[in-house]
Amino acid sequence: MSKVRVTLAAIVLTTFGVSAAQAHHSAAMFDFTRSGELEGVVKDIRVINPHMSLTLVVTDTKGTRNVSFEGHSVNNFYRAGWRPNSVKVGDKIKVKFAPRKDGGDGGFVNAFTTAQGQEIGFKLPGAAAPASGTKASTN
Amino acid sequence: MLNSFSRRFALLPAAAAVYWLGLGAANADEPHVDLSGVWGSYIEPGQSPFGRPGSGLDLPFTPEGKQKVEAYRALVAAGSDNPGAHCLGSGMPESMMFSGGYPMEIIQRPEQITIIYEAHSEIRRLYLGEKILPEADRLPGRNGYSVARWEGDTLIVESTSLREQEDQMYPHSDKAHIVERYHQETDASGTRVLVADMTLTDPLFYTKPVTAKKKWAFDPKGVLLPYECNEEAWLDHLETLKQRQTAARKAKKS
Repeated sequence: MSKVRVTLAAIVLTTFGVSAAQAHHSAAMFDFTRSGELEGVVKDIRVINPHMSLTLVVTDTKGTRNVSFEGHSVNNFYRAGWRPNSVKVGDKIKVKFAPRKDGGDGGFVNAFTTAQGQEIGFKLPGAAAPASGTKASTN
Repeated sequence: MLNSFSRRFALLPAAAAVYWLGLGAANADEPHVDLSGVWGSYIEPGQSPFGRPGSGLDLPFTPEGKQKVEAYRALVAAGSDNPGAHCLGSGMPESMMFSGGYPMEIIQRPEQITIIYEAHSEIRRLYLGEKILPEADRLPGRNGYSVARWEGDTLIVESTSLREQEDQMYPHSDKAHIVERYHQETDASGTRVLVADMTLTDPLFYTKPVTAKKKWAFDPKGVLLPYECNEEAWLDHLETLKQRQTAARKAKKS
C-alpha cells in the first residue's frame, strides 16, 4: 500500500472548518468516533471546498423529511473516486457519516454509495473501509 | 627558456587548478538534487494516518506566550473556530508541518523555490542569491519571508518577517525565526522521502527552541487540485441575494 496519503481525519477534525449558510464554523459539532448510515433521494448536492454539502429526502420510521449533511472536500472525494457525474439530483444514494453530537439529523459524510452502486469515500478510525475508500492518496 | 609549445602546456596545471577551484566553489552552493514535483505526507510503517501531527504538543511557553495562547483559545473555544474555517492559510510553521495533510508541489529554480500547498492554495516562495530582499524591504505575513541556501544537497531555509499567530499548532510572535533543513532519503521500498528538520526560535513565546520533523513521500504521478475555499460562501451569498430578490418582488406585487 502506498505511504502517500492524505490524513483525512486530521483534515476533518482540525484545520479545515465547516461552513454553513450564514457563517463558517468548525467540524467540532460532529462525532467522528461514531458512524451512521442513511439512504435517501438527493435533493441538492454541492461537492466543493472546503467541504461538500448534501440534502437527502429520507423516509424512515421518523417519516419523510429533508436531512442536511456536510462532508469531505471535493479534493478528498475526487481522490477517492468521485467525479462530477457520480451523483445527481434525484439519485437514490446511501451515505455513511459521522453523526451530530447533539443527536440531530445529519452529519459529516465520509462515504456514499451512488445510484450505480459505486462506493466512494473514506473509513473512520476503527470503522470498516468502503471498497474504494482507504487509499486517499495522491497517486 | 620554454618554447611556445612548452609554455602553453606548462600553464595547463595552473589553469586547470584555477578552473576546478572555481567550479568547485560554484558547486558548493548548487544542489545536485531537484525537489520539483508533488509530495504527499509520508506515513511511517505502523503509523496511523489519522490524527493531527503535533496535537497535544507540550510547548515551552514563556509566561507571555502562554497567556496569549490561552486568551486566543478561550476566545474561539465556543465554536472551535480556526483560520481554515475562514479560508485562511495555516501560516508557518503549520503550513509546512501539516497543511491539513494535503499534498504540496515544489517548483525549483536556481534563484527561487516555490512551494504550493494544495490546502487553500497556500504559497511560499523561498529566495536564493540575488533575489533576496534587504530585511527593511520585506513585507510581514503568516508565512513570513524565506531566504534559502544550499549546503551540498541540504536546503536550508530561514524565515522571519512573520506575523504573530496564536492560531496555529506552533503559536509564535512576530519575532519568531524558523529554520528548516531539507534533505532526501530513500526508504526500504525505494520511495524518495523528503525530510525537514524544523527549529522555531522565539524569545517572546518560548523559553527554548522548538524542534520538529516532517516527512513527505514523492508522488511521481501526483497532481495538485484546485482549492477554491470561498466558493461555498459565495454560493451561499448568491442564494441569499436570490431570496431577497424574490421577497422584494413579492412585496412589490402585493
